[in-house]
Amino acid sequence: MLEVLHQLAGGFLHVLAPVNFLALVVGLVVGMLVAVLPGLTLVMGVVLALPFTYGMSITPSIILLTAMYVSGTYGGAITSILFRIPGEPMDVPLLWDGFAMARAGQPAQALGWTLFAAMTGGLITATIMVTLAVPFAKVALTFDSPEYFSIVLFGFTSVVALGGGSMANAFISLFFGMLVSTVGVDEIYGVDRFTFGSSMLRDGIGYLPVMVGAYGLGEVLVRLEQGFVSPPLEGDRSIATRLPRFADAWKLRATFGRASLVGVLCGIVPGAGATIASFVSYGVEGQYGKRRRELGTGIAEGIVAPQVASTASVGGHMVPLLTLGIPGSGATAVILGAFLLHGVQPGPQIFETQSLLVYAIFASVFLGVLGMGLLGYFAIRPLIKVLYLPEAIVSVFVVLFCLIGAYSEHNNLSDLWMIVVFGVIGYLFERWRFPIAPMVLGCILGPVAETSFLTTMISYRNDWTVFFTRPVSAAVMALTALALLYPFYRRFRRRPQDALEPSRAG
Amino acid sequence: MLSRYRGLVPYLLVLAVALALAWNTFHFEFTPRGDRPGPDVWPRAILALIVVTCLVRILALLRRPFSSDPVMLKDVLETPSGAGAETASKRYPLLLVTGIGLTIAYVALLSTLGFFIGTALYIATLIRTGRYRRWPVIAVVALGGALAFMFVFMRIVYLSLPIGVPPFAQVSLMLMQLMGIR
Repeated sequence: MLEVLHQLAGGFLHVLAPVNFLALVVGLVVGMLVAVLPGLTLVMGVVLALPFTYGMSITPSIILLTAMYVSGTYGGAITSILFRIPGEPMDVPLLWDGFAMARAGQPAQALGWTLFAAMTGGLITATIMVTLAVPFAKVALTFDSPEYFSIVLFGFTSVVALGGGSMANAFISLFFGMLVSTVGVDEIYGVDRFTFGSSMLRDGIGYLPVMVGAYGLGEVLVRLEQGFVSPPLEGDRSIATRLPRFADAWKLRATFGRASLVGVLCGIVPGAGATIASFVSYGVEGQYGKRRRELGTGIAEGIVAPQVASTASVGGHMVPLLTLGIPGSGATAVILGAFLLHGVQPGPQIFETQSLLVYAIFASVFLGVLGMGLLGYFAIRPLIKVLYLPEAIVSVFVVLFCLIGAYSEHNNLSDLWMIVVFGVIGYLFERWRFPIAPMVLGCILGPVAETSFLTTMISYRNDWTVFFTRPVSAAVMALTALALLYPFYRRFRRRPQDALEPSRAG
Repeated sequence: MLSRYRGLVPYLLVLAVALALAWNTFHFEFTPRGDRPGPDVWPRAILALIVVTCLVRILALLRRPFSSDPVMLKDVLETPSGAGAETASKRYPLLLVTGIGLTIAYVALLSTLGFFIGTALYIATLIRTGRYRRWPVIAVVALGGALAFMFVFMRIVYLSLPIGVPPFAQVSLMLMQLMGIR
């Protein structure tokens, strides 16, 4: 533990170096801006920022993207509370009580609870991240290909099963992403797969054009088809933040505790993002909270539960990224891309070979949470101004960032064509109600899954039972089965109650 | 009734593509190595899963008397009320087709027109397609935006953007000279 604290202190000093500190500040501001703008998601923002990191060294690059991630979990809450417009999908549960509290004449208190919750969640997550990462990395060193495959499989099923909605569509999206990742030359045999004689396809399809195209261009096309209609801002709200008193916050300690646990657990599970953490936490509050019957009427618990969970999930996502090289969410998938671009492969060995970088990342999360608090408290008025920009203009620049970002990786126009193709696919996915997140995760983790599966089959002479006989792999496979069965169980339990209870939303 | 069958379209499309690609996996050219799984095993497994999932979904849709669109997590979003609801549900397919066409044209013509001219034209036309009508603002944003991108990406990020072919290249080279880009 002393060693960890010593390394962490070194990390703090490293972050306070001018270039790294500047990256932190820029990341916090841009992350909050991106989250405030409806139609521009946190993941899109991190994706669009990635090309700017090509010319930077690895430490400020990762600090910039991580800071965007941290502040982005808070920024979208502002418009949820003030204008009933969720800046991010994770802010939807917050809107139910946050906007109600604002409408009751307490917008400053609503913003204050949100900021306090975000900071609490952030500090908890940073602490958990530092505490868990090193022991987790030591355990991860003992992992072999069966464990990697079972963990990736768990990540796949979690994002599908926990995400809600049509499981069939989510699975199809996931399998499609995995299939896209097989295009190109096979690593083991050197065989062309699905290239159809095209040199462009022979290079394979990286996950960056898939992610940028589907999330970025695809979303813009969806909104273009709707005529770029943003909901009108409701009147002129007085914008200030009033933090809660400690005594009031102490009364909600159970809510803080539950939400932190949900956030960290959802964060550690690969594929379960901040949005899932936010919804699950709100649901848990609705089940176990003291004032659960008043949820939705503008109570502080309805703000604290989702906000703490979504910010707390950030550190959880960073743990599998740093210790296993497996991204826990879309944003960490982009951060993984930044690592790889700089020639660093995250995994258990990174704690030995790049310990200063790792602890600088930890320190940047701590400082980022504090910076987010300061920004959220003092800079809220200028942040809101961006909402008055015409959506058509903002969207054009989003598309350009997508295209240039993709081009900047290889200076190759074929990447632009990939963006266009996956932009149209992303639009069709939205139109036909296929979730995009499983596709992107399938594209990112598909090669990992294939390599670990084939390596296992080769090493263990096609003995597939090894996934169930090795203890860690067997345990993760059991969790996978639970994750797959849980939605059916939930549906089975809900049937008799659906006829009796009115819908909460709307 | 029609909406139920319309709901089948994406699954039928995916099923057809999956079957075609599965057929393609039998034509991968490689030499099998003993009992090792070949490069066709993994893609074929994925395609089999896609086919099975599509068939399950198609059967489920055919069995149900009324089709219900799958509810996604984002469907839990607060639905806008009043005028907001009406405008949010209205679609403009022509805008969509135009937007896609403009983007394709931009990518296709980028190496000919060069980054500055191509981007300025793209910004202007796409903003206008997005139903924004103030031409002075569009002109300023188009020209200023293209210049800003050029400066940031070529001068700061050191990205080599297309300069185009003559006579368009002359414009790019002149601007690069003004910005001190080599």
